[in-house]
Amino acid sequence: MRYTLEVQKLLNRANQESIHPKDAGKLLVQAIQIADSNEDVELGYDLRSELMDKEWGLSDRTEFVSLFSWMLNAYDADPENYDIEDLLWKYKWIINELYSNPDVPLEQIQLVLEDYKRRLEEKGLGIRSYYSKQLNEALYQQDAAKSSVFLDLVNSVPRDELSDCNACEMDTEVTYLINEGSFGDAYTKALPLIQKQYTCAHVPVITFCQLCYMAIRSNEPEKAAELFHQAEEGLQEVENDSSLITSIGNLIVYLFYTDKDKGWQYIEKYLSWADSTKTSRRFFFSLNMAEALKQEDQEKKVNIELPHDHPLYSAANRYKVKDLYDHYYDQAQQYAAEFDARNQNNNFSIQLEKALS
Amino acid sequence: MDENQQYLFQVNLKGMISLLSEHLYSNPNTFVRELLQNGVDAITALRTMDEDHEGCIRIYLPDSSRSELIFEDNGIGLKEDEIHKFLAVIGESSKREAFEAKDYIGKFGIGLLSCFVVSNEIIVESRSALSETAVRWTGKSDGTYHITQIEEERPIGSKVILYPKEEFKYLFKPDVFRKNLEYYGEALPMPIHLHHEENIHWINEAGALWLDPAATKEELLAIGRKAFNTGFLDAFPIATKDGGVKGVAYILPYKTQFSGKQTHKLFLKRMFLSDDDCRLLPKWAFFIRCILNADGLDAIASREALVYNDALKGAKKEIGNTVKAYLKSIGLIDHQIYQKLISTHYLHLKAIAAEDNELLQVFIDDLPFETNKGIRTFRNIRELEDTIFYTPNIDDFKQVRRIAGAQGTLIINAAYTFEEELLKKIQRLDSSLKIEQISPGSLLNSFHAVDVSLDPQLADFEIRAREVLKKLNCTCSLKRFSPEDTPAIYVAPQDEISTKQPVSSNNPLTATLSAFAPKKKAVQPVLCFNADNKLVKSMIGIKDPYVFPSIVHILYVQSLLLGKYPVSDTEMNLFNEALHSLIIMGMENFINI
Repeated sequence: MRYTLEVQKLLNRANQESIHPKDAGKLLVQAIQIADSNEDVELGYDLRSELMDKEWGLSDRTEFVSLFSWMLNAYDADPENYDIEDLLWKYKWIINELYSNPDVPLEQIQLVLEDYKRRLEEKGLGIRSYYSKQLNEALYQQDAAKSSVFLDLVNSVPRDELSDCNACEMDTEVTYLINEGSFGDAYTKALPLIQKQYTCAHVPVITFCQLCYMAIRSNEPEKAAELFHQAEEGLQEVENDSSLITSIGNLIVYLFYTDKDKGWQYIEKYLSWADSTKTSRRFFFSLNMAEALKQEDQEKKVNIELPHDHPLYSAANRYKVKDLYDHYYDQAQQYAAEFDARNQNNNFSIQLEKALS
Repeated sequence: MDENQQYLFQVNLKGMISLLSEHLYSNPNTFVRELLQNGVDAITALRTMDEDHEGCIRIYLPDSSRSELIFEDNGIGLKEDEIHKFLAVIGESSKREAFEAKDYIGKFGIGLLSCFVVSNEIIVESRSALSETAVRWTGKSDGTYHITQIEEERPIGSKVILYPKEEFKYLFKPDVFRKNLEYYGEALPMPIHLHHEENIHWINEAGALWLDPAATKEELLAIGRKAFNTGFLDAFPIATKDGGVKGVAYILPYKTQFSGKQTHKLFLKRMFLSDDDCRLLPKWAFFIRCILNADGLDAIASREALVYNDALKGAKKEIGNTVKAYLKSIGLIDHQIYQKLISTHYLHLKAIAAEDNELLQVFIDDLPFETNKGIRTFRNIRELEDTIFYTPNIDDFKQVRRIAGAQGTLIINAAYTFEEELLKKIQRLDSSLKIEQISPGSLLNSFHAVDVSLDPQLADFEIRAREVLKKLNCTCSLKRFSPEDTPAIYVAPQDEISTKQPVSSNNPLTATLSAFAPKKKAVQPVLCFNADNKLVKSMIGIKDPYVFPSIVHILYVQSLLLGKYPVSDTEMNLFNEALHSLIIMGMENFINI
């Protein structure tokens, strides 16, 4: 049987509507192996591109960078054969991925950024996205000075094919205002997103989540409740998207302020989404978990089912709040230290301190 | 200029009407629904004054005696001042003074707009239950209207008269119009009669039997067959407190995999709303189709979906529980259906059971699993095996099944993510069971080791074989295992995607890859020779520098094939060349003899 037929069969299964993205990923890996063993580079390229699309919706993206690196090699060997915009779009994901791994040194990230910029310029494309990647990172770090520098830089060049969509750019500005500390401004800015005038894969779900978190911390319980409701509705559409784990973390904090029972249900439901690899997603989730658990009676014992590979897992399913809190606090602290060492600042530690103050 | 002067900006009414009528309602058939809704609302409103009132809707299609459509109800009707509000309420929010008829008037106005899609003129003749006289409102799509008094005596109720536009005349043909009426109105509680020439057709004569608690299962199944054009395995009623949802759920008689969405029939206050489940069904219910009516939920503005609110969330939860309760009890009620359910929908049942402990307990023993010994139920597996092994992906399964089979070990293929979760959950719930993951690597480790230090011959074999395999990026090991007729087994790390490729000098990512490498140590592929195999035994004595590597190459490719690994062109060439050399050498020996 021709191998392309085999690959097509696997693809058909991987693209079923309700298949779990992890299962789809497994099938695509098989397809890639077939393409590779037949030395079909173009097919291998397409399949890797598809696998990246699937992994994008997962918190665990083990293959992400190596898949893309392979694609980049294939592209450079034969640039006429592939769509550059699609490749560069994925390059944007990769830049995020590098930032989110503390083991990647800054110098390497810088080299990658410059390579990305060079490729944009060579193709006559604008460099707005080059700046917005750095803006996103400054916002993650809650680095006010850098955020404002990069926001100005982003706005100094026009939008182009590779800049983020309207919805995403607006969400970025909302994050900026949240970091500035004004809930009212952030909320006003977010209105077009809240009213779903602009939408994207994760917007406005992530906007609802971060605003809900900000609202409860800014003592706006009614707005928070409304935003929580909208976030929950949005999550219905992306039921298996574990890359949203940090946004879920925001909601868990909200719930521990308002409805602890539901908060525990959320923890039970979503804990397995926290990825096993070392990423900033994991840092932010640990931070939110510590922050949420801090609202609970530390001596209380709770019955919840933890994932079997959770370090605290016990068959009795009974845990002391304090133990869980300590676990997440330690984890957040440890990650903060690693990220800060890489970033040569204290930005993550400061965030952790702020969240738990 | 007076700075405090306020001006009203002008709105082009004609443009507004066309915008609203053509864009708010994407489907030209919508006017049928809106007219029905107006009639139903009017009748419902009159019932609040006279609960014995027998409402009825009559539609007279254009035919040889008339060119217009007449849509008539015997509901509450409208007074002149109410008719004036038709246009006043367009665009106004739903906040308006309460009237017994709720916001009937407001809805009437907006709903009527959709008629401008199919007719340039709308006439409403109405006599209110609170008035002795009737009025006629004539509206045009340019936004003008006038009202005249009707002198003759009229019964209470309203008539909407439309003059079909040329391009939409087909919608007013008896067959088409009847289908649309049935589509939207089949479940409405008041009779709807369609008149054309001499014929009168009662559209909803069958009624909504599926809402009747006394309906038998046979009747429900017959309704389902008619509604969805397919037979069903079973049907059971659904009723929720939140949202007042009532109806029937049907179990599909065929496998559905995880593809596509099922279509349903969803009614809101007995008016057809959507063939989508509008989020009322849990995501895992791929094998179920529903006919449902919701009395206590709200529709979004376009009336094509439900508003996602607490009532809907509550209803969804109750429906999920009802389906689960059904699944839990069906085995006791009808074993035959239970068996069919499992054999058809086991994949979905596994996915649900992985999340629901109670369901897991109910179904687990009867759920089938693919194993290297064929499809087995979990009961069968549990009773026959001390330790239950599984592989979490198909690649591992393919590799392991043959070796394991030869050793009598049963392996479950847990290829779907939820199958692995399910097995882990079973282990957690029942500590008397031993369920373990197995991989080709761990299976290899379970083989009897060969201590080569005791046998210099074997040690020499291992060194020489390793040397040959090194060029193939593969290591070598020597063990004893059954079946004896298998000379060697090839085991490669799972799920690895090759990175073999010329690296671009412009690729700055290469340097970052180590930061993303999996933390577990890299496993090299291994070719494990079977020291008990006859061929391997005779290879120990072969020292010829051409013959030995050729045999190793052949065994290498043979193991790839046996393990169902892909074989590349290079490897195939290796295999052919090795065979070729052996043949040449054989020929030479033959000649030398």
